[in-house]
Formats: sequence, structure tokens, C-alpha cells
Amino acid sequence: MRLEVIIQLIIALIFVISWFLAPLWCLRSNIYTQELTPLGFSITFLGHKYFLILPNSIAALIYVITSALIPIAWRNSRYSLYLSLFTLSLAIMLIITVFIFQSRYLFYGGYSVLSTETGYMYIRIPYTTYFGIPLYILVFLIIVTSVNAVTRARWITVRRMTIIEETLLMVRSEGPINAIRKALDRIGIQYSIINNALIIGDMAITASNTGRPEGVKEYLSFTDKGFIYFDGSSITELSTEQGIILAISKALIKGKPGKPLAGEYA
Amino acid sequence: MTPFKTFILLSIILTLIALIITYGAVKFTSSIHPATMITPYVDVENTTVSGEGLIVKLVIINATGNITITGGYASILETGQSAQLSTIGPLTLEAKYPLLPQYVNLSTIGIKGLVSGTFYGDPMYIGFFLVAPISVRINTWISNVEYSDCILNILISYSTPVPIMINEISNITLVDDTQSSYVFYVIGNIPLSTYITPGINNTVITINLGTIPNARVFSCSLVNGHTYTLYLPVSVTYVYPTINMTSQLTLYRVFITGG
Repeated sequence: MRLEVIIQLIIALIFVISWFLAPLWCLRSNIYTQELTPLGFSITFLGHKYFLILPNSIAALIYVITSALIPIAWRNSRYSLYLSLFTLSLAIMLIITVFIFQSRYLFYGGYSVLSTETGYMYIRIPYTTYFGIPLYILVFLIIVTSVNAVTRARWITVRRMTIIEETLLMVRSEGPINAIRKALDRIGIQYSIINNALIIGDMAITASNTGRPEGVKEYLSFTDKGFIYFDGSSITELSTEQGIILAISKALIKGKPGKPLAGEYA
Repeated sequence: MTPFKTFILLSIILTLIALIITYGAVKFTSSIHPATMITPYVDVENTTVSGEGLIVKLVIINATGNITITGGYASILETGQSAQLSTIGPLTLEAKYPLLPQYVNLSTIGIKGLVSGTFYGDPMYIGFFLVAPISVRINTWISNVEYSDCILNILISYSTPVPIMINEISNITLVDDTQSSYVFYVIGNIPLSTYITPGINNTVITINLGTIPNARVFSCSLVNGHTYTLYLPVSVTYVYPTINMTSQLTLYRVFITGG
């Protein structure tokens, strides 16, 4: 799973949480407030609270979450990123319809003329509207999703370590045999373990302190100082690093690699 | 199915769902209710007529919430007078109008105007049109008559919101009804200058008939048990703040001496 897609998901989750904590849009005056929450409009008038549930608003929230989950669930095609961007744009459309809804049905002009028993009452209540933090997070989410779609989620230049690099790093902490074993697992090569030695076909990979297994033509042994390779007739001495590379490449020839790894969002 | 086809299919499905939801949102408008608010309004507390003039007191009713009253104006339709409203309480206002002669004929007045103030800190105006009863009456009557030694004392009682000047008495006559004869009569005017201050009070007019040249005096005292009638045509001037109005008034009193 690519880091870029995880960043997109995290920003989407931050947006969802922040929208529950702060309104996306707000109208305030001394006697009347409107707040756009994920579930609809929260309206306060002279101390009386009223909640207007809006399907658009709820749908926009679900679409934002869906947009971030699509690249997680569907990874083998770039179209998942395109679909993610499309879903997010639908979410923005839905938020825009909420604003159209507000201006049409919840319009507030800042003044009122009311009839009374002996005349009329005119009140002028100036109001201010402002956008909340969730909107700015949403803008950021749009940018990240767009960049993901355009670059196929490959805009972070720090690349992941290759299997060889990871294995070489792991030798120090877990020893050469375990490191190679994990590398083989990831590549998808079948092996068997006999007396702490990895057996792949007629080849054995051993540590120096274990005995030489029987019935193998070639064996690769990691010693305290370095690495010994015996091809059946001659012995070659190599460094540990060279040994790791040789062991993995030999394993690729001798073993039966599984399905090749599919590229993400290709 | 190729990824491209999956993409197209899912896009169409998601778009349709969004369209249906947007349509459904419009149907949700039926759950919007217009807010109701108890609106404050202006009413007349009372109208009083005094020496200061006509005082109209207005009060704000249903003043729920954070309302403050700062002022305004009110005008009286019948006279065209307009006055600033001054606050005399948190929700009470007052306007004062000088009295005019028209008021004497009116039983109700129409008051219209505007009260300004603040509602939760924001500007507010309450317009109003009210009808209020008023009673501006000028009453003058003779409440007692004494006559002895050719000196006539008339006790005039009055109730008036405006000052009155009694300018002159013309053709004053006292008749003995029992005997069908004059006690005295005066041909012509007796100039007088009695000033009556606004309010309800009495004033005494003293006339020494012996000194009046045009007087025909038949008796200088009254007989006990007889019924007398005093005719007192007077010329009075009502002193309104803007205008003086002079009119003729005939006062008379029937009385029995000695009770």
C-alpha cells in the first residue's frame, strides 16, 4: 500500500473528525445562528435550538470517506485513483447543493419586519458568515487526491527499500538465515528448513555452526567472517553482503517463484 | 471487466445516488417551520390632562428577551402635534403636548409614532397607531352667592386645564323669584380682570353695587326664605399656549336664602 494513499486517507479522516467538532460554515448574529454540521443545519433562534437534518450533508460525508477508501480497496489499477477523485468531486457538489439549499430555504437577510397588535416591529440584526477549519482541510484533501490521481500516487520521492536492501539491513538484527527466509517469503519462493538450514531444491543455505545437510549438491554457508559458496567442486569465499545477494539470486533460479508482484495503481 | 469499465460503471452509480439524494433534500424542506416570536408592541398606559398639558404614557407589552427602549416620537393626528418620547421607566415612555382648543371637543385621539430601542444589542423600531380616550373639559359654575349691604360676593368654582381670564360681566341681574321683582340689575359691562389658574379651585368675585353707576338697586339685602336667581353673563378668555380664545358664557344660579 502506497504512502500517498495512506496520507489521503488520514487527511480524509481528519476532515471527518474536524467536521464533527467544528461547523464547515457558520452564520452568526445576536439572535440567530446557523451552523453546517455533517448531519445538517444546527439552528439557534433566540435561545431555541433546532436541528435540520440534511441528506446532502450526510451524503457528502459518506462520499468523502468512500473517496478515501476506494484506493485502499482497489489497488491494481490507476482508475481507482480516478474514481477516488471523481467521488470526492461529487462530495463537493453535494456540499455546494447544501449551500444552494441554505440560500433558498434558510435565507436570512439580517432584518425582519413583524406585525404586532398595534403596528409593526422592525429589527435589524447584522450577521457575519465564515467558513470553518473543516473547509480548509477539505481543500487540502482535494489537492492531495488530485495529485494522487495525476501522479498515480507516486509523488513522494523517497522510495521504499528494495527486498535486497531490506534483507541486508535485517542481517544485523536477525542473522542471515532469518533475513533470507523472510526475503524468500516475500518473493514467493518455496523452501524447507532442516536443522536450521534452508533447503531449496538441491541447494542448502546454512549458517557456519550447523552441519552440512545431506543430499545437496550446492551449499552456501555464512561464517563468522564472511561467506563460503561450494558449487559441488570448488569453494568461493565472499563477503556476507555478496553472500546474501548470491543466496537470493541462486534461490530465484533453484526455487519456484510464485506469481510476479503486481505493480500498484499501474 | 476492465478497470476502465469498472470506473465508468461506479461513476454512474455514485452520480445517480448523489442526484437522488439532492432531490430528496428538497423534499426535506417540508420539515422547515417558520419560527414564531412573541412580538412586543406599544400600548397606551394612560392619558392625563393637567396644567402641564396633555401627557401620553406609552408602555411596551410582551417585552420578552433583551429589549431596551431609547426613545422615539409620537404624533397626535387630530392636532398634528408631534413630540419626542422620553423614557420614564425601562418599558415606559412619555410624551407631553401643550393643550389646544381642539382638545375640548375631542373624546378620543389617534396617536401614531415610532419607538426606537435595541433588541439583543441590535437596532429595533416598533411602529404603532393607537386610539386613546381623552377628556379635556372646562367647567365653570357659581357655587355660592352672598348679598348684603349692596355688596355681592359670587363664589365661582372651576375646573380647567388652561388658565382663564374673566374679562367683564355684562348685564348682571339678581331676581327675587318669590316676589317676581328685581333685587338689582346692571345695564352695561362691569370690567373685571380675574385670572384663574389651571386646576380645580374656587375664586370669589366681589362687586360693590353701590359704586357702579349703571346699577339699579332695589334692595341691599336678601329676604330669608325667598328664591332668587342670579344671571351672570361673562366674557372669558381661555389662555391656550398658542392661542387665546374669547367666548361669552352665561352663568346662573337659583338659590334660596336662609336655607
